[in-house]
Amino acid sequence: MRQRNIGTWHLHDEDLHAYAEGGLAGPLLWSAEAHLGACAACRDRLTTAAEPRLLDDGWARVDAALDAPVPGLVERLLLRLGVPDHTARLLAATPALRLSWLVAIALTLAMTAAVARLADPLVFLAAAPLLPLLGVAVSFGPGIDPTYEIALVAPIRSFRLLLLRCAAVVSANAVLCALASLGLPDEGIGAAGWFLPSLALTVLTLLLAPRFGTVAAACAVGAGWVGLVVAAAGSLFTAAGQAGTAVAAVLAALLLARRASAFDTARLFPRITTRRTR
Amino acid sequence: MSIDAAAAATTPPGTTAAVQADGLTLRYGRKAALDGVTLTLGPGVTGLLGPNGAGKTTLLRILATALAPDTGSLRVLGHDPLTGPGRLAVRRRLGYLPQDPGFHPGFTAFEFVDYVAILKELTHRGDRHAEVRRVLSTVGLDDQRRTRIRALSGGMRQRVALAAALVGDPDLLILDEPTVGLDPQQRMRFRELFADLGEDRAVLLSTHQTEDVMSLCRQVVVIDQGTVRFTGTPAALAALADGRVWTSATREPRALASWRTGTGLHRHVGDPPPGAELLPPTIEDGYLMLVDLHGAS
Repeated sequence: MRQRNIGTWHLHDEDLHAYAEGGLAGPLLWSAEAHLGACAACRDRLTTAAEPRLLDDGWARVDAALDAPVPGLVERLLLRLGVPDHTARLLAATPALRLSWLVAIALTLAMTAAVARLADPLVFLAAAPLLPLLGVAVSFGPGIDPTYEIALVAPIRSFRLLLLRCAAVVSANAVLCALASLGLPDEGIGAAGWFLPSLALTVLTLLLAPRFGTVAAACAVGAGWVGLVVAAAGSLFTAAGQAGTAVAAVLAALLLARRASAFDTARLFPRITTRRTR
Repeated sequence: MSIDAAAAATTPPGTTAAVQADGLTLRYGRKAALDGVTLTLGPGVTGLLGPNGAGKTTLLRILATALAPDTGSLRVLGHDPLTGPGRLAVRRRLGYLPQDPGFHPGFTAFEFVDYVAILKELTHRGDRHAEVRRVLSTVGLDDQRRTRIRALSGGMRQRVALAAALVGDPDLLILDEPTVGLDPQQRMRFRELFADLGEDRAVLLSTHQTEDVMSLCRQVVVIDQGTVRFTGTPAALAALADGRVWTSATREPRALASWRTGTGLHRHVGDPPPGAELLPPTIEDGYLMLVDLHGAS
């Protein structure tokens, strides 16, 4: 491939054309690239050797790289965990996964754990299951998600979108709650008593969402939970209470699976209202 | 013109109607938003006219599969959107621009359309990004691809939303008041775009701009109080006011509508007095006659 020329060398025409068309391989390719980086004369020859189509393709690739969305912190984390890029994009648009939201939840949990340590662990166990409900409430629905109406009529199933977002919200909350539980070492495994109620309350909220909307459903379920804690705090966080919570979560999940199509249109929502951003 | 005759005239023989609706009703509590809407839409651009609260948005939402009617039958692009598989089939070939499209304001124009493209099942990153560039170019936003939506003007945001509706090259475009809030130059650009889009697909747009309808629609539908009042060509709508538009030097209180024009003369729509100086009617005159006559009945 080398053509000696008064003390230096230049790429052979044949290799230059092969390089321009992307047909050069192996050591020859590396050598050609290293040489082109240092030799202006060969770069000029490459410009004339390359077809305009190839140059256009190159510019298109540069353009595409500049256009490509820059993933934020949450999205990068999801990509690292192996979540496909399109799913990570959908999740990145979830308000309850924004950094400011997660910081607020973390601070709330830290305060709750501190209060629980000083006063009564029940404060933490009762409050922690309510936090994912807040996330679920702002994850989907008219007046909540600015692109709700566009998403509703898109081929992607609204139920799938909602489940994806809720799974992400519940997971993020679970990690934060688990970290906060470490602040209650005296409780042992009992400090994880928030987990099953979290699941049950989230699924119940989803079950009621098509009828009342996510915000009203979350408020109703949250109020019900608070009432239950006040009425039966002693038995809720026992083994029997946890088993009962698990059964409730499973039953609600089975019912929810049967109601998936209720999320397909807005007929059951009180009314579509979209946020004006203009 | 009767509804069926108009439908036959606007759907060429041998082609499948983009929309066939029969007796659609939908109630919000006691109020009937739609009350027995029967409609057939063919290819090309169709304009949907009607006063505020007439039921235009409700009808468009039903046709776009966002709402299900209480009663009535519906076929969109040959599918029944009231069934799960039919709804999915329609959504895969539909472009919808809501009346008040929402945005994630922190997204760039590219990111927003990319997000909608994912919702439309374009999961392959390279293909999806190429499609996003194509639709942004179609609406003339090549140079604003990387601009945050919060920094775009109202007209440009509307174009971003339209680009999102165009993702996937849909066979049916449903656009709810796409030209509202646009200046005349932007409206002209949109008209050109809609005319191009309507060449090889069905486009249904609601509007209050009768000039939009006159200049680009092949069919016009007038809806009022949840029922279809007229279906036909824009010229046929204007012809409803044939012989019922006149001018005089003074105001005419008995006319359905009467106003002083910039020339100093008054223009009237209604039943003219004998010997009145008649004027050729516009589509707006026909529309006013229709809505006012209904209101008087």
